[in-house]
Amino acid sequence: MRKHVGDLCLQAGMLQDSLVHYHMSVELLRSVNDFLWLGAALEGLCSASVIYHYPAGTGGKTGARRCQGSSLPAEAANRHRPGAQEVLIDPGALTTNGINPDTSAEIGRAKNCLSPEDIIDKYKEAISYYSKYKNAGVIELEACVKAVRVLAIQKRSMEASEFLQNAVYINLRQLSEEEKIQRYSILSELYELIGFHRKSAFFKRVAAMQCVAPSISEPGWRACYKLLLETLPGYSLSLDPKDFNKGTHRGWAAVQMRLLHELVYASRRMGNPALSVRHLSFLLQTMLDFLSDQEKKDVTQSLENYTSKCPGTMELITLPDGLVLPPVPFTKLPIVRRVKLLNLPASLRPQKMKSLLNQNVSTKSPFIYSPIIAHNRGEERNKKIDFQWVQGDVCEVQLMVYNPMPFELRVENMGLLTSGVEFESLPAALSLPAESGLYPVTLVGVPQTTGTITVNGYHTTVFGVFSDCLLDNLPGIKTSGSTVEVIPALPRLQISTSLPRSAHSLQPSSGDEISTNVSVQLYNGETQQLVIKLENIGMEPLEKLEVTSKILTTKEKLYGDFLSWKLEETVAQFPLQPGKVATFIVNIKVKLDFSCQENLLQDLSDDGISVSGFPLCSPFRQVVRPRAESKPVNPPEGSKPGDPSHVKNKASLRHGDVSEMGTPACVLRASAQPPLRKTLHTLEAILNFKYSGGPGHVEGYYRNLSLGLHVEVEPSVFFTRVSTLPATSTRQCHLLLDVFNSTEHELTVSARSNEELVLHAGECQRMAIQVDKFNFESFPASPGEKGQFASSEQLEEERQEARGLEINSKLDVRWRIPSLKRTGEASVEGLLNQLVLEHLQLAPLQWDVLVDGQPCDCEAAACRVGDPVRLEVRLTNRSPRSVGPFALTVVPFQDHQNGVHNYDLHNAVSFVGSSTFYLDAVQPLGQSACLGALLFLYTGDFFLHIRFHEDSRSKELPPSWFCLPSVHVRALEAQA
Amino acid sequence: MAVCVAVIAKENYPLYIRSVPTENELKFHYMVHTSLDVVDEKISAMGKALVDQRELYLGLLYPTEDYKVYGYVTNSRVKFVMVVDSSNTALRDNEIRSMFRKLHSSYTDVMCNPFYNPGDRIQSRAFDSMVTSMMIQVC
Repeated sequence: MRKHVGDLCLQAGMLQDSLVHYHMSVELLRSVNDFLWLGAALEGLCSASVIYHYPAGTGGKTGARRCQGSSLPAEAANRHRPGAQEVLIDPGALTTNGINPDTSAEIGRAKNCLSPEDIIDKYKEAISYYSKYKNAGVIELEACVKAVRVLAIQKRSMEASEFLQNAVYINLRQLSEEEKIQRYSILSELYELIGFHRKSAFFKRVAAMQCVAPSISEPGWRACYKLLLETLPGYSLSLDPKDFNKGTHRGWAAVQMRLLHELVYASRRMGNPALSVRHLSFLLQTMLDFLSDQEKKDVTQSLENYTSKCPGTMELITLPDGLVLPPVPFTKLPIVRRVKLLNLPASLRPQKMKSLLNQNVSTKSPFIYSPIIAHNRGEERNKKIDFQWVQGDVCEVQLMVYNPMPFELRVENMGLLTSGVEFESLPAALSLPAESGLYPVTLVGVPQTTGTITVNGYHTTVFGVFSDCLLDNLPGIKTSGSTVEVIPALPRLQISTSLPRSAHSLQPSSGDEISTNVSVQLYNGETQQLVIKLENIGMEPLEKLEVTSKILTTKEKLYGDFLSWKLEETVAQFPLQPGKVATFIVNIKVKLDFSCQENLLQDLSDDGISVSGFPLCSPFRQVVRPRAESKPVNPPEGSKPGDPSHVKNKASLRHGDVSEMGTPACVLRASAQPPLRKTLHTLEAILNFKYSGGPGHVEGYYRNLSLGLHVEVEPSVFFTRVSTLPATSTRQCHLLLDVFNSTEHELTVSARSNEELVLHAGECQRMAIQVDKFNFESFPASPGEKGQFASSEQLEEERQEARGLEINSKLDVRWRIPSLKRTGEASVEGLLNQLVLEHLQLAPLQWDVLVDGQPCDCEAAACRVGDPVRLEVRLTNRSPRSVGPFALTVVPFQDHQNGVHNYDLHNAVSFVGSSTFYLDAVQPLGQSACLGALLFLYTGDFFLHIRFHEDSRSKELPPSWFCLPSVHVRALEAQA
Repeated sequence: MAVCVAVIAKENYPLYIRSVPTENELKFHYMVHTSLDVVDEKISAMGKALVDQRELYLGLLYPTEDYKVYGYVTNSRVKFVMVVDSSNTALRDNEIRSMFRKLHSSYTDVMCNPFYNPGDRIQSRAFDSMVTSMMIQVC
């Protein structure tokens, strides 16, 4: 019974004695082969040595120790042998008794005490002896645990883990559930001690599961939950969703998911739905990538069930033991890929007055440019977007979202989170189809005050869980800045016009964004009034309005003002209070080229469908031909059956072109056929309304509203040919215009409001207009432009334009379509060529023939037979150079009105003096005259033709300058 | 013969894990996960040894009733863990070693793929088929 003595010594604190006794008992028992006792003796020996080596104790936590101690007495009842009781003796308890190794014991230790390595060996031996007895499981476990503690102190975790591994396999059959839990918790604790956190977590989880094992009548959910929470660090799982935002998920998804499920379940059974909602949403948020489709469905289903009882919130949940569960925002339901603050629509976009901007800059710094300031501003601005929102206006933020779930996702109450400015967010509800692609969502709100607004994030309600998602925390999000300035309120203007809206959008190259487009179809030369109603639909009075127009560049030459308006009448109605309407009238006048190119003439002369205009090698020719031929199948309403065949074909072809202008094929065709493009022109212009008012006006902001105007110009009349005929007077001439009616209606043309010419559809007629010749030289050339930049070509062009304008105003050609009650002007400006102009022009050399001192131009001068008639030829030189000298011969003749001119009048007319006049050189602006006389011998009508001698004529002067009127003299019977 | 093969990144999260009886996957997850404790311990113990002399093969990590868990760690601290049926006694240490070496070379091939983003899950088909071949070799 040495062992017993040893035990007692140990209990009494006599270490030395106990060691000696243990050694002796081991020797004795080895020979007896009583392994249980041998094991006990060895263990006692170890305990004593341990106390010796580690007087501070092996246990880490006193709490755990107590727990252990309390459990063991209960086990003691099951003990087989009383001798094993000594195992209970806890080295830690002894040290607390105040036993300290004294110096005298040093010698004894050297003799009897085990070395640290030996302790382990002895423990191993003891355990192996214990394991021979099935009933000694508890003791074995006990020994294992102790050995592990010793090893943990020795920092030999590998060996410790072996002991523990062994301890796990120790079969304990008669354990109560509570003991099982305790066993597992202690195992986990020991693992923790040796630094095996994962193992520890595993056993803790097992312990937690034991708490709620189905065999237990009263499951301890609360304890289970508590234990589960303790396992979280072991699985490197944190309940803060922020830790999951960094990149892809790293961890043991399957294991963590399992744990979260258990947490959810436990918390639900605990009767804390808020907690389970929190855990469930966490599970959904963090483990989304690892959930299968079915699991996603299940999880969301249960989440919805829970939230119907207890909606998820954004508040922190604090557990009784001090653990804080942060809120879980659903940033992945839906996933937001891009956040973009939208500018206001172009028509509502505020713009800063230029002058004010300059002032701003100048007040900031006395320097015109300083790199330092520019640099600062650049940095400041990197998150700020360079457009503004307007107070009181609906502002939009576009989110690109997608739904990762395999079912339709209903997102409710989605709105913006902002700071800086009072912002009224208008929440939206949306439903995203399953596994949708990127889906744009526009969130709107109204800023209520001015200042700088920052969009921080958005809030949603998904499956009954409210979440506030901050943009800063979202991974993989693209944002182009989230700060925007809100400026004071401005009025809003709405435009409605008398014209129909058009689907045509202007060419995108125009740069401006057009809010409204209107279109109108006009015949060439027509004028129409466009009534624009301006309605102030904002909350601020409209105080200022400016209108500008911009004609989009077309290749067509436009004559006259396209758009003209008077702003004064409209401005007189200002300020325009909210809800009030003002009207504004714009005149649209289209005047394109009325001339007709030779292709059309060719077409006209071509009897049938013309392809003559095409380039011969054109690949479109084959394509176009059958197309064009198919046209007459459905004759247009305009062509009458009685029309000449070529006219009909012509008309139908044109009709087809007009009606098909919209299709791309025709555009292609039109580009391949330059001649037919003439049939329809479009003119586009933009009317810009700049307006301002209210507090925004004070701040120097205005808004710009653009109205796109799309005018389709149909040809009305063409002047296919123009020529002049000299009139009887040198001051006048006849302008011959071949007018072609290209419309499908009957049309009347009048010039100088006296003649009316009726033209049927497609008809061409000649029209003669008597006009006074023009003296173009009298137009003052615009002095500013002349000398400086205008090249001679430009100058010439300008001059020609001015002439055209003058001629046109004189001619005043108008057309009218009675059936449509439409009228318009026609302009000849474009078709006046040099030759015609020269004819229309007064020659710089002005010749006047005076008979009896009377200027003789058109009507016959009367004289008497027998009386000499004075004939004076006067030359006024208006050209800038001197001309002459000239020799003139007067040739009298008689016109028999049948084409026969009788020049043989020597016995009817005689000259007084020479029949040839000589004129000296005439200086610029000079005048010269020569006199002669004629004597008519018989009565009759005589004509005098004044001819130049060919040799004297200056070759370089144009022939039209030497156009002398023929003089008509009527010789009457001499009176008695 | 291998029941479960796992590749674990330096930061101790799985790059690849596959087990044969798929219905009880979670068990293997737990097993591999807890084995990392031992791996860590072994590595820290070896840490003092010179790097070039280090043995990559860690040997048996721990045995359970039915399985044996073996470990292998590369110089870049990527861990390979293999769970082997303990009933299969024919399996020698050397064979396990060669299996790990095969796994390592295959893993190197995966890393050489320029389109593979280090730290992502391994989805290479070649690697997958290699693992499959290791799993059914004897079974």
